[in-house]
Amino acid sequence: MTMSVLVVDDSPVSRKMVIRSLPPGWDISITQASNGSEALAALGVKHHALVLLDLNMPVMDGYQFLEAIASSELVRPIVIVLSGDIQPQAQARVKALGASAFVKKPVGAQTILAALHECGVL
Amino acid sequence: MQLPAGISTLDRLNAGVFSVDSEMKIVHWNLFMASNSGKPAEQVIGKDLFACFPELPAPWLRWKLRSVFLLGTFAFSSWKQRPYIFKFPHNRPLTGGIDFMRQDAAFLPVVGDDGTITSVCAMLTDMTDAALSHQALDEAHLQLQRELIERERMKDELRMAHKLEAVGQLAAGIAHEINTPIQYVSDSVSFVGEAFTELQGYVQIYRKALAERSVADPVNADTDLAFLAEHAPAAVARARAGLERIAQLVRAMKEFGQPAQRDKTWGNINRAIETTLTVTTSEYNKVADVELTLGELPEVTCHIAELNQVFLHLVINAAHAIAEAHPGERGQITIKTWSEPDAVVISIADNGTGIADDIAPRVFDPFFTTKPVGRGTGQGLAIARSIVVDRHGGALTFETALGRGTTFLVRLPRS
Amino acid sequence: MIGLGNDDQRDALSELVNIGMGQAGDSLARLFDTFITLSIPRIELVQPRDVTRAIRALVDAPGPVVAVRQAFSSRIRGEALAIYEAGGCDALADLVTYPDVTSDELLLEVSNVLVGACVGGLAAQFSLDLSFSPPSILGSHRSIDDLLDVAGLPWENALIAEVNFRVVDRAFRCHLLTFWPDESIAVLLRAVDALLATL
Repeated sequence: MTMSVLVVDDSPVSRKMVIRSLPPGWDISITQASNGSEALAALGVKHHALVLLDLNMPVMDGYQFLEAIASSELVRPIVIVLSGDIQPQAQARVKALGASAFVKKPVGAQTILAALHECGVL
Repeated sequence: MQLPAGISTLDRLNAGVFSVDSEMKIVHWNLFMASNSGKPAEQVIGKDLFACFPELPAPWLRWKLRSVFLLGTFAFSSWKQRPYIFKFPHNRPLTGGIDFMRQDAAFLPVVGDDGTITSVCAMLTDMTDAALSHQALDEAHLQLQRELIERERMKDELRMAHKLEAVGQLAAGIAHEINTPIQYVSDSVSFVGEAFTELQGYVQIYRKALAERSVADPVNADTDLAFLAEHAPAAVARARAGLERIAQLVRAMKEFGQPAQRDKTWGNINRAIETTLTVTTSEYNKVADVELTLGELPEVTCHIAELNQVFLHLVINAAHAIAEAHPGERGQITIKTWSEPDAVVISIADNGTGIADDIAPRVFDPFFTTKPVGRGTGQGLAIARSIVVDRHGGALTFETALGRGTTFLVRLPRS
Repeated sequence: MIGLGNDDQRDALSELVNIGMGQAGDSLARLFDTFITLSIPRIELVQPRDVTRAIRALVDAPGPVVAVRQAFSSRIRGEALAIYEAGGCDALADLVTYPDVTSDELLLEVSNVLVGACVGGLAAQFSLDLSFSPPSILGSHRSIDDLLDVAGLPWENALIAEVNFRVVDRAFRCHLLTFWPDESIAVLLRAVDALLATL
């Protein structure tokens, strides 16, 4: 079955880079959102099994998005955080908020694949 | 970055180059490091850096090296914050001027074939010359600042001195002008006094004539007449005393305002002291009592107006010292004069603050003062000394005890 | 960032600066074992006459500041300014593991780490190897307007990238500005184009 993937990042270029790094031939349908608020709206419309989430965004950032998901009634997606802000405490924080994996930017095909394995998505 | 293979180049550099691995073991050690530390490469390669050099600032250096291993970026250190890392001898065996070589350092990560940082390379540059120039410049700058501050202060003092000089001349001019009206008033008061006495006489004659003719005295003025007879002369006497005081002040001011004379004249020292006390009354009479013991003095050839200035400065200093030491209480200024076989001596003593040991050698320096600008010009004692010593061939000395007071002694040679 | 390239180029540059700045925050966090909050980076293209205004707009410090400058070079050259509000890095003093740290030494240390990581992080994405010169203190307790001598600036156009850092529970606020003058802008754009071409 086609997996729905939501890519959340305020930079269109970054979203392209992420999408480009996903395993080729993987059966997925991709939705894009440019901040946490748009992402929540997209999840409201349709369930997405996987969310690839940037942290540093305007309007609603990654942390706020994770908190919103946790306290909402939506079915929880698997969230992989992609960020340039890779401080040990940042990683701990997002894991505590419910993220399943953390990938350092710039993302590459290998690092994304490793994270997908780690979460049991692939 | 790989270290170049040409080790001999590193050895010819006038800079220290060494590297350590992640266990802090020395991997490279160039000739500069060897000669300055006294430990050749064979002795240190493979050994722990801090074990070989226990004098190194270990916590700091460990932090620096760790940051390069951890972050993979350059790190730096400058002699300005940290004068040296290694205690190496400086490059000034002849001229000296510094304790150890001043060092700048740069720390670079060295990346191995597997992409990890295998060692950190450090480069030590000798900055002693720059440091010494910097030091000299700093000192020169400081000196310049001190002199600028001193110059500003002297300018202020000079302005003050000029003002005082102008005021002095003004006072002399006014004193001269006051003389004439004082004369009028004095003469008139005397006349009125005498006239009253005469009038009293006439009144008595008239009263006696009335009494002889048994006529009642129309002016039953026993009480009024008695009152007038008692108080009018007293009023005249007070007026004359007041005038005498004014005249005394005016004379004193004139004596002070006199320009410097070329030749010496016979002068009465005791009178000069009294004149000075008159003129300076307002300076001391709120804070001190004056005890005067004036001995028998011969007249001396001198510049009396200048000596007045000397006594003026000494009395004012005494008054200020007392005011500072005993605010609210009254102190004592003791002035004695006496003659010795070869000199006339004047001592002016106060029980004020006394003079501290570190200030004592400087009290006669021109423009040296412990008082704020406007309160004392700083020139007083310098001028006094110049007058006593240079103009009169005498001596001006002092004895002092901090917290107890000071006694100034003026010795003037007898003619 | 008007006047610089097209939307895609600007966006790509933004993202790359983001990543570089993230590295800087991470480096600082690891070295001092604490948590750093980063702002969203801002980028501006300026000419010398605008630079004071631009810096003022990016660094909203009300009072006097302390600034450290550091240059980098090789294929791309530029200079970074780390601007600290009053107190400099003193709030981080107890986080260093060696004794007797002075204000100046700490200031230079932190600035060097930030600049090395941020500029280095950005350059690494283009596989550029950079060389850094030592940092130096530009001014203490100056107003922002007095930091640069506008009349003497030796460039015509420069890219300024700014990010600011805070440390949780401490009075520490730092604005990191990197300046990329003239030819360096072209090198950056070429590298960005190369990246975009792969998407």
